Amino acid sequence: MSKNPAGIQRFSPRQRFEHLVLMVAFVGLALTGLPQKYADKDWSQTLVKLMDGVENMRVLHRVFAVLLLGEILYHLVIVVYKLRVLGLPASLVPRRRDLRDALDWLRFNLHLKAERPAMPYYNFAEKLDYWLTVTGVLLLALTGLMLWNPILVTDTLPGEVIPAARQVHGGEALFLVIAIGMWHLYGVLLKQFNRSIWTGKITQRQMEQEHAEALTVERPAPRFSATEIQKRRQRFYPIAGVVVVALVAGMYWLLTTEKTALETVPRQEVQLFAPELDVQAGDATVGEALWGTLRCSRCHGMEAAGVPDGAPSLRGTTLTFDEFLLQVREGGEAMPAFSHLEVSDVYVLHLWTWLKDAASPQ
Amino acid sequence: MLNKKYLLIGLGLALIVLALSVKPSIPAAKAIETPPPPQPSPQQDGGQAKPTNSYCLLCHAEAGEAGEDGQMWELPSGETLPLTIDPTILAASVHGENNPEGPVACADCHQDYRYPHPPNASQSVRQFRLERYGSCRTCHEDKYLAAQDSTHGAALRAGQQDAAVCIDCHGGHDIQPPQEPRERISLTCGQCHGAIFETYRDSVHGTALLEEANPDVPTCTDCHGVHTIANPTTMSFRTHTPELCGDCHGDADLMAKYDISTAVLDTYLTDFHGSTELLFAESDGEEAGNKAVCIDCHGVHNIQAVDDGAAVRENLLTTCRQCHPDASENFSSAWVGHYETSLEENPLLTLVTWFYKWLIPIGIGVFGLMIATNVLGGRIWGRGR
Repeated sequence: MSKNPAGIQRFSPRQRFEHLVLMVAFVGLALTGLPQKYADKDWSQTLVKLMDGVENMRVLHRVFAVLLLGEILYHLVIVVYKLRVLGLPASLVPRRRDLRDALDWLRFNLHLKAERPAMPYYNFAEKLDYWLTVTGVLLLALTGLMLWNPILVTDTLPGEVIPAARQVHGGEALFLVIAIGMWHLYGVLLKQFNRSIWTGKITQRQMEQEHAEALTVERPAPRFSATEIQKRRQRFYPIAGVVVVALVAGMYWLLTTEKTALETVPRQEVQLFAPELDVQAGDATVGEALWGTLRCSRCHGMEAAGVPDGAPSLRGTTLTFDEFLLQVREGGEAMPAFSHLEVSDVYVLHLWTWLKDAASPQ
Repeated sequence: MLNKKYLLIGLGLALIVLALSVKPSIPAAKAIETPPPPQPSPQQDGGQAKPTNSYCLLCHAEAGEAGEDGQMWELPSGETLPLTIDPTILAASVHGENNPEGPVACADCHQDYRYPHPPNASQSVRQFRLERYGSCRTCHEDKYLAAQDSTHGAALRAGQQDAAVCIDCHGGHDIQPPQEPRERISLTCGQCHGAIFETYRDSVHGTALLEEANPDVPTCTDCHGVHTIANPTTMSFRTHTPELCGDCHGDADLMAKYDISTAVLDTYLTDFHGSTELLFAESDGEEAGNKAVCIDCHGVHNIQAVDDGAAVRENLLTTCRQCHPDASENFSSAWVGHYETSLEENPLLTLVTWFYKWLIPIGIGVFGLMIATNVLGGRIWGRGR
């Protein structure tokens, strides 16, 4: 390790680029995703309006999702290359000593221990960040793709997996946002202000505090000889190429195959203005309900049973419909005429249908 | 003193106007026969310019067979309109003897019909009615203006002469309380919207209203509004249907009467359709959307009871395929229903929900504690050593 006043080299440009892509995708997905989980909150509505509507927001969510899928694939290729071609040790795999480091760090915080633990190149806090992100992103990608293709998924799986996938997608997203927001941001911004993922260089002091062990141990070199690496690289490239092309093609198919829903819900055609509907049969229920609302009841009684020395009972009328209609339209000795403006033909039909079968009340 | 002076001037002017309006001839086009000048004159009745009802009824009282005495007005369209009125009808109406404001006189509504009547150029009964309903505004301006802003008002301005105006729903002389009995409301709308009424009549709401006089089920106006009836075919009306249905179906007291779950709205809003719809309603306004709302699965006017869960399940796939034409057999069970999820019914969904319900607070607690030791122990910012 060179003791450079400008800092110690920590992250390669590739690593910094990956972090940038991951960060953009993560923030983008959170901002376009969480409003969908918390649809009833004001801040959600504000974000949706900023993104010019929920449809736009969902398109953006999918754009960021594709970016993240790309980053997952890229990271996968790099990891396999480092482990299988260069034969580098898996420096981010959690080990027993990480648990010890974590406990020592807590003891140090609580002043139960004078020395802070001498931690490796990737310490327990960073491994926690990494694996929270890896498990979270994989779970989110899996459930996200299920939600992207609900019909395809339910071809083989029971329907319940769709709402379950939605719960996992929302729950894991919230968990990851909280975990990264609390643990990662605290670790890199507040506990110490660490610029290394942007500049590539870490300060001597931060190395001493966070990665003291790495200052005394050389970074591991590739396990294989140069010729072995060359051989392995020649095998790796075609395989990686085929796998990447297959995965990209498969992903393209997966993202475009399903047409989940129609763009617009088909409208019901309803006959809006239908004043003189051609009713096949009058409706006694409607007739009975109508009775009290019309002037008929004022003379013939609320029950249409007639009034003493007044209008007769109409219950069980023996008039045919045509006779009944004529009586209503023309009136009679004491009965006024009712025009169609007051009682439509259909209404007369409903009334007649009810009255002809209405039993006389006791 | 001053007041009396103005009153005299006003009276004088009124008399001049009245005198000028008495023209020697009435256009021959008018089919109304000119009756003999009536007695007593309105001026003899308390000295007011407004004629009394009895003055109007000298000619317009119902006498004999309709059509006699020139009491039937023949319009150029060939239609006829009786010009008589049974005074008891007016007296029994909301404007009659029981009106808390006092009875409304003929001339209160027929303000511009001083005798001798000016000619009326209406070509048809409809045209005459469209000309008349403006007088409701005198007393009911708020309702009148609301109706002008409604979909009926818009249709009328667009040239749809049949669009309902005040008197189409309320009547002219025989105006009764429009919501008594409650069935009257839907029957009133059904006069023009017959096809929709037929559908509504057979729905769970319509049947309860018409057969049981149920006081809780919605009539037409409960969903569509009374005078401010908005166009129900807009996207905005559609996206706000969950609120509309939720008004009643989210009311615990009301729903308890019928043993209906009030979780319907919440379960909908938690689901994908509901939460998207919620965001859509706020942001996209009139843009076309495709998220299912209550009416897409339950129907609009033909809403039926869902007592039979199995039948609903069976129909569900057909319902889903209205918008998801390629839906697979299992697809419809992705909708877990309007009931709270249970371990027996939806084990997977319940377990993952439970998992995150615990994971998130535990995560916050663990990270919070770890950070807290660092901050409180003074080990922040690389200090402490």
